[in-house]
Amino acid sequence: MLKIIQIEEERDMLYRILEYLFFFVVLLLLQLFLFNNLNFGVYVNPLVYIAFIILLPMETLPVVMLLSGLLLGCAMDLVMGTAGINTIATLFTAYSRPLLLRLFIGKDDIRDGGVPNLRRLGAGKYFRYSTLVVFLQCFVFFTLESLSWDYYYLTLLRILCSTVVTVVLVYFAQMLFGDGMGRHFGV
Amino acid sequence: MPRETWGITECSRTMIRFILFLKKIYVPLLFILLEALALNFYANSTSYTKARLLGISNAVVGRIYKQFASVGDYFGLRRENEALVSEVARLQNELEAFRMQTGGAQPTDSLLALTGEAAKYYYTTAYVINNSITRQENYITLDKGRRDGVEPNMAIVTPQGTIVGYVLNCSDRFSVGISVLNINFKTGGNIRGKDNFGSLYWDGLDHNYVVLSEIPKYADLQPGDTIVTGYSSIFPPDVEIGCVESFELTSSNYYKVKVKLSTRMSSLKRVLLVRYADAVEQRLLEEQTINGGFAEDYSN
Repeated sequence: MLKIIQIEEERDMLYRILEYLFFFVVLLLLQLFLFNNLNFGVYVNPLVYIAFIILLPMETLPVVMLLSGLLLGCAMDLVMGTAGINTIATLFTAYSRPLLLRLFIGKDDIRDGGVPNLRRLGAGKYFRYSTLVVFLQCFVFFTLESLSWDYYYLTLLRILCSTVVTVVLVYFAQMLFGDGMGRHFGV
Repeated sequence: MPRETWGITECSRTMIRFILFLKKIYVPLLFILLEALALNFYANSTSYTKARLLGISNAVVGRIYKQFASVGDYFGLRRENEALVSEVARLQNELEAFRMQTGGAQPTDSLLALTGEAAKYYYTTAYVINNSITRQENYITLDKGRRDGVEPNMAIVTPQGTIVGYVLNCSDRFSVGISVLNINFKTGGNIRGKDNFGSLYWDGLDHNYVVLSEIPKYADLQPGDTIVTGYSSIFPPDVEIGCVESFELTSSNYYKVKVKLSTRMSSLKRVLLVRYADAVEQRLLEEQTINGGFAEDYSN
């Protein structure tokens, strides 16, 4: 009996990893062929790929978080030709996510685990949490990109506009993929 | 015996403590290490590094970009055709004017007879398959590469003769160029018909405007004046950059001019690539002059 449960758990784990791999590839393609080509001007540059970090299960080990951040950042740097900014920003966001979870979601929810999507957390908690993660990502990204304190108010404007657009797009991403993920796991 | 056992346990206890300690802090350590590596890479990267990265990813996704671009192409055909026809008309006028000047002789023959050598500028066409305007460092991916005779430092201009950027990196089938909308882009700019020149760059604030700085105070500057490329080993002279929108005095001697770009960078499709035949010679001579005896003698 115990053995069967163990096998089922392992199978679920494998499903979950495959689902996240699929999500990773979909996000990469969307960012590359859709969101990078939305030429709305200098102020809106959505970094939707961060949805991957946002929607990793809450019980993910910190070291796994960090390595996924590394993989995601490097992939985005390569296709966007940004030579490191994506990696720096994504590593930072991935590293600070456990802290953000603890700040916004509370110990009980984290202990139960699961995908931190809208359905799991409720609108209030979800939006507070996702907005802050996206803001961190945009803050590091655009500050490093402009690399100067002249016109910092304009960089701030870029950060704010991009954060708002990204939060909305991440909301759609979690509707499309986040709901499907975790259905096997009864969360 | 007991002494040795005591020694081993004490030793292994410190080891265990050390391993436990490492286990506690290895994630922050890894984080700091990875961030330091990434920061180091970013700090040492140039526009060429970025163009090379894009070149690598183009090997994989370039074909897909091409597909997307060719689908989007159909929607702009009408405007594209109109632009081409008006360009043909303009060139016909220029040719007519040239014929008048040379008294009916065949223009190409007379040009060859005059200079005794092949044309100074070589033109070819390419198609923009990826282009961004939203970042501080924007790059353009073109569907022609080394196999089609494209090489680094070729100028990219629109068929209407306005500025776009220049090629940085080529693979066999694709090439990546730096856009005029890149904070690392720099070239010289002239006021058309006048001798005052300044340096042209993008301040990263608006994709419709670039900045021309170091125009001397005594220059006769009017809003609406046309700004064209000046001294450059990449761009042919008189490539249109844009119109003077406004200007202000910075320091006490120089104007900083806000220039409205003539090129609509958000809707680039077909572009011309221009190779300046004597570019290598000019650049070599300039480098020799700067690095060679002249500069040193001068400082002594």
